[in-house]
Amino acid sequence: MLHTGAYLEIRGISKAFRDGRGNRVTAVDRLSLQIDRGEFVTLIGPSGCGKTTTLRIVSGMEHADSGDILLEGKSLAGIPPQQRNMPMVFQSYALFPHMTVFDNIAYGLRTRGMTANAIAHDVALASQMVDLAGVEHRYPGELSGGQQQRVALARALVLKPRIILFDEPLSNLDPRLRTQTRRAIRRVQELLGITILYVTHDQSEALSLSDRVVIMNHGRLIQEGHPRDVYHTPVSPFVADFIANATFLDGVVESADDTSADVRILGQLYRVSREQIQGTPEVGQDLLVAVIPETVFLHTDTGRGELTGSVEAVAFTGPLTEYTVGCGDTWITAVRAERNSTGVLHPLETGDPVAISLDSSTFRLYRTDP
Amino acid sequence: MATTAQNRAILREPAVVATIILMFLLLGLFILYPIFSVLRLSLTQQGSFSVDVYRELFNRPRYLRSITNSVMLGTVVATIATIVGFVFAFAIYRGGIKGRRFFQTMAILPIISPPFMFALSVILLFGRNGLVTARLLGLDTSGLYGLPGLILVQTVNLFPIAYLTLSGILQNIDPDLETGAMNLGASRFTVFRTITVPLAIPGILASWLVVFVTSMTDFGNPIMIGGSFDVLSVQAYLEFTGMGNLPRGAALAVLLLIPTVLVYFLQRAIMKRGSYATVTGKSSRRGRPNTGRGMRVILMTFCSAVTFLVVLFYGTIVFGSFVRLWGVDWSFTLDHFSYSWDVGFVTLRNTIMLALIATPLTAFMGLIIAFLTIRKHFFGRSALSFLSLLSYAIPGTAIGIGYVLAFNAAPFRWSGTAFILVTAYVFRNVPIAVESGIAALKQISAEIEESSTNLGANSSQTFRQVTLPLIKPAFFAGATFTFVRSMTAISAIIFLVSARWNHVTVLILAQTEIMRLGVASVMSTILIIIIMAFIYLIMKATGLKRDQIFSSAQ
Ligand SMILES: Nc1ncnc2c1ncn2[C@@H]1O[C@H](COP(=O)(O)OP(=O)(O)O)[C@@H](O)[C@H]1O
Ligand SMILES: [Mg+2]
Repeated sequence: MLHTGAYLEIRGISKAFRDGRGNRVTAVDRLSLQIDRGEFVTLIGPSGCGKTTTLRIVSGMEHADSGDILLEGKSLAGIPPQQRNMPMVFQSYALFPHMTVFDNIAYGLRTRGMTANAIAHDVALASQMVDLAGVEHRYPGELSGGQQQRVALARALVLKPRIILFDEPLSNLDPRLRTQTRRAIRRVQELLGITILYVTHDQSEALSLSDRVVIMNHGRLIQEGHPRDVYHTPVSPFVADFIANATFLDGVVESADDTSADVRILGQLYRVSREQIQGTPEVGQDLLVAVIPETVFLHTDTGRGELTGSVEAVAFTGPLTEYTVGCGDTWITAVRAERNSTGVLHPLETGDPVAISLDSSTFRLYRTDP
Repeated sequence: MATTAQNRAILREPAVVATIILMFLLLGLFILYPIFSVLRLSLTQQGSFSVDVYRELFNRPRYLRSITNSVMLGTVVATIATIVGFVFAFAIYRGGIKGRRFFQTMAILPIISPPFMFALSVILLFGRNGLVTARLLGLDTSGLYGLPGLILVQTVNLFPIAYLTLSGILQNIDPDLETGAMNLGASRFTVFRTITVPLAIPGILASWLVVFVTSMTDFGNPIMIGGSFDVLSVQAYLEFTGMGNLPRGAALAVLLLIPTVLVYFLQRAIMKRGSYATVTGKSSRRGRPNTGRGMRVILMTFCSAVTFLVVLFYGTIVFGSFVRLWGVDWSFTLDHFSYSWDVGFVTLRNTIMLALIATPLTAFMGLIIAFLTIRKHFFGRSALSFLSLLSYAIPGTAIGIGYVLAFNAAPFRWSGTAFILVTAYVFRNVPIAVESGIAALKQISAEIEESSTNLGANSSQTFRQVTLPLIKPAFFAGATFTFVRSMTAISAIIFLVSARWNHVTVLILAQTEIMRLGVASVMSTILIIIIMAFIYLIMKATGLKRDQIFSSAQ
């Protein structure tokens, strides 16, 4: 029978641990998620929010207190990790230190009782795919971090699994290698049509890799969606902060109608559409306004923006420069490139007075009462 | 290798140079010189070099047999004890059995007992008048003497060594490795066979070798229940002290020395080369038990059985303290206590006093040597660490004979003094203090010490104010072990005691030989209580945990 629902479904799982003092700690709280075949889904959230626990429950290494994992509609309850064929790539790589690269990659194939020839063939193929040819006879301790990472990847790929689980696989790599490996993972995934459930706490990693991101906090699912949608329409201040590094300003609703509202922010009136506001705005109501740094424009010509302030801190990061601007008694973060199509922008320095204009169409506004 | 510049740098610190020289002199005098004396005596005849003593030994079946017996005993005990130790460590750290803390305690308890205490239990339980053999089973046997009894007591006595080494190794295996293997499709047994065991192999080999040596050099158990099963350590003692045949005693000690030194270095090489450093950061997750329910029941049963034996052995000794005449008159009495007080009080007091003198000396010396070898660069550094660890490899019998030979005549006429006993304690135990000091110092980054130097402190200020507080745990672990081992020493000490300065273990042995088993039991019980109280006080006073102290027992 052809299954028509989700390929992999996480259905309402919860898991609590006891901490050192015997108190219950909820690691995963009624989490549900549906993943399509070939999809790349990333769980992202702050450290300790339950990402790893979720992954381990899916892999069968941990048992959920309640809820179920379904593959093509069939429950995986009672199926041990050995039989799930869902290899996991660990943050620590978990390479077997007493085996060569070849034996590490061949490990899963051997447990399946394949012939030596078939194993050699598959291992060679997998090594090639992740660019490891030539180091098969070394031990993990003799490899660079990037190579170790790729052995971990090859060890999973060689099994031709339907699903691979990744637990922060890039966090032990240096930034340049991280971007390279990111691309390699995505390329292989698309090539082989593998379904991936990926965990990270790095927002740019999540946004750049995934078909869909799932934001978690305190064991719960907060928001899921296409990276762009989540970035532009975060459902809560937590998401806006975590995904887009938003600055939060206080606003008061001055007037509202069916399609739009006027909100006073730092003494200025901004018009926003109703979709940007969480819930129904009422006149006089306080709102929290999330402003994304790249929609904050700074002008040296103090006559141009609607707000004025002064530069408090400058952080040059290469492609972009981050400015912290004091405006009244709040700080706003802005980022911009040091040059644009018209040439080099006048560099701003600490203490410089600036004019600020905000793009109100990118605001997200949240009620301050819960 | 220290460079010339480094050698010159060290010269600007005269206190360090003086300490280095002092350490070399002490180690040379109290380790090398006695061993040299043993070798020399065994290789000379009428003033000239000769191997006659050895030729004679190898031509007499009696001595040949004690060689093969020693090796056989060591092999069997090492094998069984390593298996028991591994099963214990696996059950506790990977098997997910219930009562972990209880079993952890039971697995290290035998370490703090005097080495012959279990032999005494075996006499009480399985001897001619044994509780089990004679009373329960009504057998008229000569008792569980000889090889079977020795295997039993040494296994119970020595499996903790294997347990400690292997539990360290098992705890260091990243649980993600086992998880990962399962994810790749391996069954529990495959994970055990392809991941757990291979990663534990260096530890298994090392444990085997250490137990082998300890069994071979054991003196207390074989002299008590060896019966007609001759072993080298006892033969050396009987020849040297009993027969007064000094060259032959020395030669037997040398025969014991050769394999132990070889095995010691083999063991160190294995631990160094064979241990797999964790490749990247280790997962912080606790390992999930890699066992099914049936396996857990088996492990639990096994650990309980061994624990039962340990408890039985201890309980028997305590029980025996209150029985009037074991095997004949089972009535309750406190007579053994008053008798023990009369004959043993002075000895016990002296034993404690000398152990308490040796304890801080050993711990300090160990730390100083560890500090010098880890943090200072100078010519002869590796020689210093080699020398300081060497005595660990030397059987007590050889040290005892060596001290008698070396310090019996001018210029070192110290035999029969308290000084010689304290020196023996210090130099027998300094390797443990050095090892734990080295382990602790390696964890303290050199930068911490360098920053103190940058702030203007000299070497000794840095050591006292920065390094010392940080290695407090190692210091007290070394101290605790020195105390325990000094209180329970016998193989070297038995050559060195005198009427004035006796040792309580020698007294217990004497009481056992004249079949005053009640008195021997009382003295053993009191010895154990004193040791436990000492460990308890150290833990209370320093806030150290049991594991921190016992980790250096490997
Ligand atoms: N084996 C465990 N025992 C006790 N607490 C645990 C265990 N595993 C995870 N936790 C707790 O559950 C919470 C979620 O952990 P985890 O899933 O590792 O988070 P993340 O991977 O998102 O950082 C944390 O508070 C963590 O301390
Ligand atoms: Mg995690």
